[in-house]
Amino acid sequence: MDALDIFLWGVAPYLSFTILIVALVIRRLYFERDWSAKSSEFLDKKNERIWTPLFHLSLLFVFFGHLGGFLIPPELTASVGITEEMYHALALGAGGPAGIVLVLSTIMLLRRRYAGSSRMKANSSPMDKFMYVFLGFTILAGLVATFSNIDGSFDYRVTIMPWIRGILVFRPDVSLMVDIPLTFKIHMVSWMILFALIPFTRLVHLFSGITAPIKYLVRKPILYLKKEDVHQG
Amino acid sequence: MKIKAQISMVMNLDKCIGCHTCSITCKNVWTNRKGSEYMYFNNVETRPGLGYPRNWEDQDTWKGGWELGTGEKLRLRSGGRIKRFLKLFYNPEQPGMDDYFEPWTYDYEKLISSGRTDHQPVARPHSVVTGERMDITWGPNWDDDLAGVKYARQDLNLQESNKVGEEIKMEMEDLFMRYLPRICNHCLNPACVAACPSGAIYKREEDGVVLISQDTCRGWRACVPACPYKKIFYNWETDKSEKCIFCYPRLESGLPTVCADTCVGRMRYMGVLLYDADKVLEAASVKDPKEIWRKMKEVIVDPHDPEVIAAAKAEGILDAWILAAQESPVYKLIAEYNLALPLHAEYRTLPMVWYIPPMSPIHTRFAAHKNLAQADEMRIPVQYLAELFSAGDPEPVEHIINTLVTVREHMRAKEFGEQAPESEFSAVELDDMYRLLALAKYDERFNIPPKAQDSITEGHELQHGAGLACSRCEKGMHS
Repeated sequence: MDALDIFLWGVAPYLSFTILIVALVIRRLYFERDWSAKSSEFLDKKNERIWTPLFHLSLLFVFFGHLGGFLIPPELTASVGITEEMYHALALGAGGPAGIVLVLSTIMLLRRRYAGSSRMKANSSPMDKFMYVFLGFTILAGLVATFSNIDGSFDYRVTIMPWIRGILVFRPDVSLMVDIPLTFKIHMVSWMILFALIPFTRLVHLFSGITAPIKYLVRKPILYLKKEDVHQG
Repeated sequence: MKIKAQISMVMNLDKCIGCHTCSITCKNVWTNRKGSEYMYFNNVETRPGLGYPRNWEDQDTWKGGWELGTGEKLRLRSGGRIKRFLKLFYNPEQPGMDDYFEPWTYDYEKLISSGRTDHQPVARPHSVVTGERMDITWGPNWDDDLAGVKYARQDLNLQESNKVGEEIKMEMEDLFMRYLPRICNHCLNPACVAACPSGAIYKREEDGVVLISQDTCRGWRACVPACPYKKIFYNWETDKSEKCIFCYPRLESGLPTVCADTCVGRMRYMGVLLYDADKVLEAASVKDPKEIWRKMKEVIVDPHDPEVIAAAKAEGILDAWILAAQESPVYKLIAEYNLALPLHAEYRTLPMVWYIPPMSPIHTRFAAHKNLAQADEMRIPVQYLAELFSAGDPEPVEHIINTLVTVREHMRAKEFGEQAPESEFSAVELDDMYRLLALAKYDERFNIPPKAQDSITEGHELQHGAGLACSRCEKGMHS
């Protein structure tokens, strides 16, 4: 365990989350007018039809798979009679195909953006390009890590998962992460950078994607507002 | 009874000469920015024709407006809430840029920077989206004045008319056309407001203007297909939606909108309507689409009725606004003289821009032996107008055109000392109609009351606000 390990597994996650939260709040409060999903459907409908829904749905699937994975400790699954082999087979069987769809749709959408209609230039900023590198890297590293571990020889449930739970309760156990395979390490570093990038990119729309349905379900269909209500925000 | 005030507009189509002055003045003021080049908050389309965006009336494709669902309950035509949320990623009903047109400009620079050549230098067109050279294959008003009559034949209203046996073939000797200026209708039951996942679109309490908050809009673009009139536009530069704002900074200063003020034909009327917000849902849910516009007239209440006045005051509507509603040219045309109809009321959004259907040149077959023809002898088939303004019911259109003919007969009788025509209206009323429709003096066709919201001083403070609301400008900071 050297200084780099301590930085990567003890400091970097907090840096990432701090930037994420602070920058997100600042952007929401002071730069809300730029907060948008930056949809490009208006410019190029043709190649969006299949790949955008596939990308989003598989990403959601993979995300909730991860969430379930690190919130449920091995003791819990064992107590309901699920063996390690069964768990691994399930994670690979469900997560594997979703991961393949995710990688494929990411490639197709990047192709649409950077090698398709020239109108897409109007919807692509330098920041986007920077962000897509880490988004693509995170996704790809995740898939490579999963498939390089088909035999289940590396057990992330007793290393990475407890480490993440440790982060959440402010007691990260750096030693758990020192000896994990390189592909998993790349996946970890990559998501930390990606998370820190979220507030500065179009990815902010994922938070709107969480709040909008909730607000929409409770509000009246026709909204009346007084001018002064709008001005007071 | 819950009385609300609504600024409304009536367009007298007889006097539209299709000069596009309204579109140009509107564009110069509101949509001359990057990302909004393709937007026309106000456009004038030739009818029959495809309109802007192309074929916007085809609700089987765009799924705009409302429909009656199970149990005859009003719901958005684009589907239930879950179905609509699944369309966030890709919305098949959202028009793309090609449904409007790709905006372009010309290399004017070439004309003066070109070196000596054998040929005249040419300013070639290039797209303002991509910056690349482009061939122009479609643009705003491509089918203006029936250009390329094949587009006119694709007009949906024409096809609907033919379905009910009207046989409008657009042969040379029967050709007809009229202009249809369109802006946001600032509906009483706006589908765009109901569709917005972020709650960024709202109807202003004070004057009914429908606005999009540029701060809270997240660019989900559900409003674009939801508006059956396609009057919400996606800005490809700011990635948020924009729409006609009814020139609200002008309204607040007691001025009519730019499009109305600059109308060469003086064909636009603006004023206040009072309406009963409790009756809106009922009117939008009437089963028979032909009845909706009649129900809309019941939603609009009589501003002279003491009960209405008391209810309006209870809602905090200012005396100046009640007075303006009583002297509203729009109320007169819609409710007192029954001269105006809403555009496509069958979309169930209860649009608040109304139209006086046009008379038209008398059909040659009848011209020989009559001074003034009746509605069914006009060149424009009444059935076609009925598809636009009364869900295919020719009766109200005929009635209005015959009233307009009566006004002319009345004035002719006065001029030549002839027998006055028979009419449901008195001579005084017919004189008044003539004055309002034919002369259309500025002060008589517009009656915009002083703003309902704030003190005048605050208006001065907001002077540098460029007309766009700022969410963080503290109210009353300087007072």
